[in-house]
Amino acid sequence: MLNCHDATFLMSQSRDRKLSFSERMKVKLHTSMCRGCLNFDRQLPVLSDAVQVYTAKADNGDM
Amino acid sequence: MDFSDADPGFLSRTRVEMLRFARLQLGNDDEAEDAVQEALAGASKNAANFRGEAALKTWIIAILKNKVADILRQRKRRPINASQMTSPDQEGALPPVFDQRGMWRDAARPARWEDPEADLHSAQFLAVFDACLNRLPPQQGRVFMMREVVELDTSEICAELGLSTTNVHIILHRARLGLRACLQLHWFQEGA
Repeated sequence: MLNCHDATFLMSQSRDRKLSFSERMKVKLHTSMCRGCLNFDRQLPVLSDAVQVYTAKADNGDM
Repeated sequence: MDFSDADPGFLSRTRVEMLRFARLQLGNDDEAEDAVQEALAGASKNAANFRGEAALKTWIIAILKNKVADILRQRKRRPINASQMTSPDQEGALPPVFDQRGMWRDAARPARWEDPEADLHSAQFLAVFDACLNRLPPQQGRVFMMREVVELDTSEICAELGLSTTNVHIILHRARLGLRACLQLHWFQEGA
């Protein structure tokens, strides 16, 4: 069973490489029991969207 | 150049931001200047097709991102010099969000964010995001931007910075943990 550090490490890597089947199953098992990590996983795409918006709009007067 | 319809203030503000972004990514003022110059020259050809400064700016930044990515990809062919070799502190610290067993500390456990996408375009959110990004250890901020904004893949980042794949994965994990924790504390928790 993964701890939260290792579970979030795999979730983070899933944004950068394809996880193996067993890695995906370990993450799924962990998030089925851990609300904090489930929230983390859902928030990763928000970070990506936010930094895209930030780069396109920072300091701009026309927001 | 033909930005004849664009407001000069808008252009100079955009140029300053472009330079900041290019310098951060390339770590070299001359290359950054050149990339910005080329991006502006490229963008000027189509400037008339964009109605409104927001659309024009998005277009200019997209061109700059491509220029920066091209420069970084070309650098790959150069041998890695000694100053780029990994040193132990190159990853920046793991944010203190886990206990000794690797479980979330109570105060750091991610809470649910209500409709996070709704806020992304607001000036207040972007100011908080800016502060959180700048609070990351520099290498974490840089690698996060390379990955998420310049959209380099891991192997390209490794080649550029002389890091191993594992280093890059560790840096990105730490950057995301730190950024998420900062946003929760300073944005999403505020209204809760």
